[in-house]
Amino acid sequence: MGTARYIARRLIFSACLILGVSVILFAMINAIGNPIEILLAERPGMTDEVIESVSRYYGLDGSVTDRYFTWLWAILRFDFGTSIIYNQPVSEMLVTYGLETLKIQIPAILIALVVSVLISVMAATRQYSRLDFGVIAGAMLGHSLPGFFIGILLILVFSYWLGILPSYGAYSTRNMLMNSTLIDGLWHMVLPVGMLVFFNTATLTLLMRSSLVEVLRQDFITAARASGLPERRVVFGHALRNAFIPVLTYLGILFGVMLGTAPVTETVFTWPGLGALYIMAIQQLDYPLIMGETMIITFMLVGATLLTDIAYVAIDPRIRLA
Amino acid sequence: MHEGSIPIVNAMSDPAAAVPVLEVSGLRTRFGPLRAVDGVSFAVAPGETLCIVGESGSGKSTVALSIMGLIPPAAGRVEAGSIHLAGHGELRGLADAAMAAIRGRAMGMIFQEPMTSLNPVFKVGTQIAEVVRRHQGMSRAAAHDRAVELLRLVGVPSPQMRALDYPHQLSGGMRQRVMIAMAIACDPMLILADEPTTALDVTIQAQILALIEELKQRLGSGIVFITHDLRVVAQIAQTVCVMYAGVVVESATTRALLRTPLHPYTSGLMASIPAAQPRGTRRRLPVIAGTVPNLAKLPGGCRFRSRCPKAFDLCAEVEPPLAPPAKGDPDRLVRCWLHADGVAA
Amino acid sequence: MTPLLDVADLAVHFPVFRGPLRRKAGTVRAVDGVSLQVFRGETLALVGESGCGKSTLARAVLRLQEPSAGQLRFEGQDLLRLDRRAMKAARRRMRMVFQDPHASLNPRLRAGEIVGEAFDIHGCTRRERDAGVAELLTLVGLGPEHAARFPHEFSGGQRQRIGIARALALHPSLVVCDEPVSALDVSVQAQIVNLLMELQERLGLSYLFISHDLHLVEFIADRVAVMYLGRIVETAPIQSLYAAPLHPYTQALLAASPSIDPDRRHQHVVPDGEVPSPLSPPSGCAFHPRCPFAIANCRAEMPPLLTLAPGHDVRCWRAGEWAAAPQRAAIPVGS
Repeated sequence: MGTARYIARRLIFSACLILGVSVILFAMINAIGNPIEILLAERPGMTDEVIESVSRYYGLDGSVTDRYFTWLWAILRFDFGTSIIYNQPVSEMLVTYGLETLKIQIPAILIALVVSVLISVMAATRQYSRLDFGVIAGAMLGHSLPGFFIGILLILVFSYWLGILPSYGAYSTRNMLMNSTLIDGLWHMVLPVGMLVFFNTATLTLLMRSSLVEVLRQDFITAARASGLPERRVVFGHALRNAFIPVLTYLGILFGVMLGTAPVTETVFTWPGLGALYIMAIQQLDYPLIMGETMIITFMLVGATLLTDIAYVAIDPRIRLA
Repeated sequence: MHEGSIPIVNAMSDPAAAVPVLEVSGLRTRFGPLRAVDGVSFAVAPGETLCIVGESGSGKSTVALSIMGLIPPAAGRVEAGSIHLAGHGELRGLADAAMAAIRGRAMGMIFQEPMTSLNPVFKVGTQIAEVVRRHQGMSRAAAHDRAVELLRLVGVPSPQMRALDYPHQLSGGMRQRVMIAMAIACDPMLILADEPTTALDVTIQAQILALIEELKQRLGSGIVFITHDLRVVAQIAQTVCVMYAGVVVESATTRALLRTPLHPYTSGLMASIPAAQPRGTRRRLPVIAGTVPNLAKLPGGCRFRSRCPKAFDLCAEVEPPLAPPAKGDPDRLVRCWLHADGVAA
Repeated sequence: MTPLLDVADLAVHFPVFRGPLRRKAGTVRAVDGVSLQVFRGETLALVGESGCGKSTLARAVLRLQEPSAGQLRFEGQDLLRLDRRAMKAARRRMRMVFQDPHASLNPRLRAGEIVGEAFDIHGCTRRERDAGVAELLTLVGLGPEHAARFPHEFSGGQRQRIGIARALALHPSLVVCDEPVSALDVSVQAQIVNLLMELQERLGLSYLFISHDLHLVEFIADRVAVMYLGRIVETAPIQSLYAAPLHPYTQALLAASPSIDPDRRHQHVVPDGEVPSPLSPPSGCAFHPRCPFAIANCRAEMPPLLTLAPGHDVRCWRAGEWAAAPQRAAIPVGS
């Protein structure tokens, strides 16, 4: 069928894209020079022989192409090598830290989606009312404020002044809240998720409201009302699905770049996620870690784009093959 | 010549004698300072097609939306008048939910643009079935069967398959048939059609006009048919209301109106329709000078005065009433001092 | 007499891409082997339903749409051989009036700038331009004082007047009018129709007039070409076309056009069905699936355009029969 072929082609395209990124990434890292020399050259007592043997140990002595294909073959088996700083397999670290990141990012996007749908419906069905203007103003403000500012504000209010929510980390270091890892974990999630929800909701609401206002003006909405459908059904059944089509692109990007935007959140809340890890890896020139994370971010972005395209086909019959 | 092939259920001889399906009186609808409809009254009998004719800005579409209770509250509102639907009483002032229960069941509406009046993301069968389910509480399967049956009724070929199509897969004519199927899904006693053939090609227009006529015979509904085209009026209407700048300026049976138009606007409209004329140079269409006045700042007196070739002093001073003409048919109405008792010069 | 515009075997084919991958799904022959002539001072009307290719043909005549094949001669020049410069010069002599006066005028330009654009493009001085604009606005029934206003300050009819003034800049000989009044109110339509006829008489213009309104065409045109699915099916002078239409499609169009006379309701038979998809046109004569008179040959082979009377060409296998007994043509077979 047309749709299956379409997805197959998109998959092939995505694979090519990932391959392209891997080449560029490898070339750029390679251009910096031999990491062993950079990392060890300044140390006292480093002879050329030592550097050479360490290089051989890390497989850095072959030609560029040989090393690229060795690396490519390894990452295809989900082997990203060993972190230089932490001396742990990068793949394991990606999983551990990745789960921490997803733990705050996915709920944040989903909550923001639900909240923005509800706010948009309220605003768009009362276009040009005070509520509508309030929503637009609020969403613009939320969209314009930098994420870290909101994060710091949240810490100030809820941790410093009210003292009811933790301001850093994913778990308590000594006494778990109510002696439960689950409750303690959720307790720590509140502020970072809150910050992301705030930011995502603002942008999603701006998009969703204007799209919904546009759709509610369409003839088929008047026609749906004229056939006696209750207003709730007209808005949620008929308008929302159409209004969702332009928002889908942004939602896809949101999922795609959530690892890319993680550094800010995770720095503000000292969250042990991929974002914080990425910053660390770059500061310390942990090559395997940098390359592993970059590839994971690429995977996520390409995967999200692919899912967005598929979602388009599912939601809008006009895109399907006739 | 094909009349014999249509089963005539409605055997009414005199529509005027029956209880009207819809009775509108003194309807006034405003959009801010704009008096779009400014005191309109008419009645439609079962089995009757009433045409409301007018140009853009005459208020004809606003009349339909006012009857349906579909004037967006943020934009405007029905200020005065009564809308009486047989069996449901006064519609004006009904709560939103009560009004929604009547729409689509007792009265159905057909829109001008078949390309944009169907929801692009749902199958047409689903959209028809939704109306049936809403008003007749059928199961999903029964409603789907009814949707297919309705598609067959409105002349959609292979309705079983077409019910599974999305709107963009159908031609304009087919989409308009789907819209008609939705409008008649619950056998409404009143059908409002707002320029249903304006966007269609001439052969498709003829098909849709014939379909509407056939369905009216079958269902015995009253039809309010809004159009700008007097030729369509000639084809389909029993009675006509001509609207200008928010008011009815003339109403009569179709034949009387088209044979002897009384209001200068009606005769002007008829004259400006191109027809065969002797060849040669300097052929011209008679025109109505000027344009429709701004409804937000209407001058006093007759609304048509500034464009009327026959206007005289009184027209500028007092707005003429809609009344039977001084001479001639007492059943028709005209809003013009030329035909008023004791005024005509 | 050599025609002002001579179109021979003109074709415009579009590749059709479908689906999310934009794969080529076929070719639409929007215009397929059309020949027609427009003589000086006459109005040739092009009629047909939406999708018949009449607007594409109009655009191809002005080379706004590059034809796929055929010849295009205008004022003796072979338009398809002209380079960009020569084509630009030729375009001064052939202009277009569009259907939608709302969409075809740039909302951010003043009426004077819209009308005067042609002067700028063709290198006139500012004074020449301003004088020309004032003259044109007066010519179309507006005044020089309107030059400073923006399109939204005008009514629909006035906007179409501006569109006409724009087309008349630089003295064209041919004006292609693409449904110039169909977006206007009835009472305003008559004003614009009169203006077009008056301008034709004063300036000796030729019109290629595209319309779906057969009543209007009967009033305004000298000759008519009827199109169906990319081809001309009948060409005739007004009088003979309306008195004795020979192609069944022309007959159907005339029958379907409503009459203002309430006593002439449903006198004619309306053709069933709809215009088929141009992606997969029917075999033989494209009209045969809807034609009440179709015979075996109609399914098998495309009929040629036959000349049955002076100036009256018909593309129908049975046209000879209708020409012999024209009154028979309106009576459908088998009813």
